[in-house]
Amino acid sequence: MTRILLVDDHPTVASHIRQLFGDVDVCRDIRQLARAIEDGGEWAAAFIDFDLSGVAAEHERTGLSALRLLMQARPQTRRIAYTTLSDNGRTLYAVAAYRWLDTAVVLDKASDESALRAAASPHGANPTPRAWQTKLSQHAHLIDHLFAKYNWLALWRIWRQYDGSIRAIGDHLQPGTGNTRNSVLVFSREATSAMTAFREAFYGSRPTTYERGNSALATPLVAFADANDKFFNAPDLQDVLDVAKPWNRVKG
Amino acid sequence: MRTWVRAAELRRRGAFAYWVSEQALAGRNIRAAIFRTVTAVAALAAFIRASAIVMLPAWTAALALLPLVAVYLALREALYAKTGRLPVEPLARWSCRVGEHTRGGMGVNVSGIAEAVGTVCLGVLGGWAMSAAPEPYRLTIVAATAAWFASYVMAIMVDPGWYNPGITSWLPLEYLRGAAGVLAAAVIAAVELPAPWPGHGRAVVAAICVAVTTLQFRVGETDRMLASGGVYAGQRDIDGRRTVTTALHTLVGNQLIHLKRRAMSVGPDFFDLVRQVEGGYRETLALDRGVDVTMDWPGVLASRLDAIAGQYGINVSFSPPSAPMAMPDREVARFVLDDLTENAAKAGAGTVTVDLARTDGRYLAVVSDDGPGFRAGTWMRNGGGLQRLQMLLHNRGGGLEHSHEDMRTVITANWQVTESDRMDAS
Repeated sequence: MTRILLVDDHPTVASHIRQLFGDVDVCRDIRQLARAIEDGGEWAAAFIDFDLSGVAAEHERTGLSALRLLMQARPQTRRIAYTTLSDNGRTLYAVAAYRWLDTAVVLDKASDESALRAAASPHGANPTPRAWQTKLSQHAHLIDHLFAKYNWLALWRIWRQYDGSIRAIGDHLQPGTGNTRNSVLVFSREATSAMTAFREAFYGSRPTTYERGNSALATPLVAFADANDKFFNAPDLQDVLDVAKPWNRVKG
Repeated sequence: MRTWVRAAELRRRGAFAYWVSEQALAGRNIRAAIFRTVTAVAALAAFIRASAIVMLPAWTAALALLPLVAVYLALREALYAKTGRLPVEPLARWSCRVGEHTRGGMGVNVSGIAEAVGTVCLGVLGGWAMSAAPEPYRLTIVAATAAWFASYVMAIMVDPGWYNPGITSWLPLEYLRGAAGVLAAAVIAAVELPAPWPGHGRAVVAAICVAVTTLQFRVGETDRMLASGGVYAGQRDIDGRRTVTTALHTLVGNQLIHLKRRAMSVGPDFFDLVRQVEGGYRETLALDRGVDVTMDWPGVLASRLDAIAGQYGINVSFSPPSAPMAMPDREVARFVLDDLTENAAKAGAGTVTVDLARTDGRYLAVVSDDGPGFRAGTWMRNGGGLQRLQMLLHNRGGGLEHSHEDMRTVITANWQVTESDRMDAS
């Protein structure tokens, strides 16, 4: 069982991974991955990108779904979160993969070939950069606090849209999300603390605070929601949250 | 209180609010002038009707007619702003010319002064000059005065000058604007309430004054609407930028990573060329970080450092020079920051601090990290990247130095500012 799986929508990445490993199964999206699993595919390691939308305007299910599928159907496959880690929402993707989807290896797409080869070896050393390993082992739990309540994802998604205006968000709450004006206020306060802790742990700097009229608490949250909107708006994030239940982990 | 007023002012002033209020000004002024014409005509009609009932002094006719001159000037000025055609009548022509120079600022103009005089005329007419006339006619003129004055104050308080980001207003003016409705009502009350009113006339005048206080809501509502519109426009701006950067990332990002990998084996010159392309690519992606992020801001150089930080999981902070850099300097900066930061990351640093500044005709880049530093023989090894960087800096009249201070490795790179840029700066 030495086959390698790549879940990525870019042919260039596929050709590079093929060049490195020869025997590679490539799935461009979750449907293809589900089919490959149904067909009995077995892999030693799987490199999984975050964004699988290609050039489609509609968001496709992301690498989060791929990691979840593999975790359930092929637990022995070494899962590798393989993406451009500095891009929009990818740090959160890497942390979510590690924390919620039992993914031990995190690699940037610019990693050198020795790291990729080490990653593909199921029992080899973990090629995740040392600083990443330290951060993940010490601080990955902080992602749970970003979703400390079940209804917070809905607020992360609209926070940027209304520039963090508590009044405007309160006026436009979607029915069925379980949010009230008071819960918006609680989110603006508690999520700011959670976000600050996450940022300090994974980026090493405090969020830039500057004067905004709506709420002094709101601005750093807007910047964070904006910088990670690909993650917060991932169509499969709610499904992953429903399984991981970070709100229970926070309580625990 | 002072801070709160200043914060309210900052929130209000913005390019979007200024642009919208400027665009809307001509049409709004035409409509306001029409409204004030109607109120002046209503007052004039009440005056004529009252004159038929009681004998009024001849000079009171001037009080009734002067407001019409004021609204005529206001209307001509608004039409000039809308059409760009100067009126031929000398007074209106002169008024338009003066008004042109005060537009978007906080200055007073001819039509504005004329309308203020018009308000005084109407105020004196209804309350005092026609005390012998029947109450309904006087009250009609008082109501017209209140409507006129409210409209006039409103026009002043939502003038584009209040939204101009290039202006910081005198603080007392801000307090005045914050209480415009109450003050306007107080002025009308001060003029009209002491006048001789038989029966319930004074109560009606008081009710009119209370109505004028609601003017404040309109001022606040206009501010809130323009501030919300500014947020919306900013978000649409960011969305537009993100559409482009997402496309760039999707269509070029992965290919560029592999091109760079291949370029390493082709040769150093080609590799450097690809690094420059990557630098430009990263800086373009940084444009979606805020509506105020522009291509010439050196802060966008941070995006390549962010990529290194993301790849290795380290923390990188960057302080850029404040002024734009000439393209040759920016290219040197890309090499310097890229090489020194990635070297630190590869050496095992956890935190890297990058300062880039321009002083005395030179750029100075100071990169410090908490890594283990250079092992013996690794600094400037033959054929290494640092030697190549040293050569580049040497050709630009600069160089590269390293030291170890307070458990941190510090590398300093400097080079001369590009000549044409120095000339521009001087």
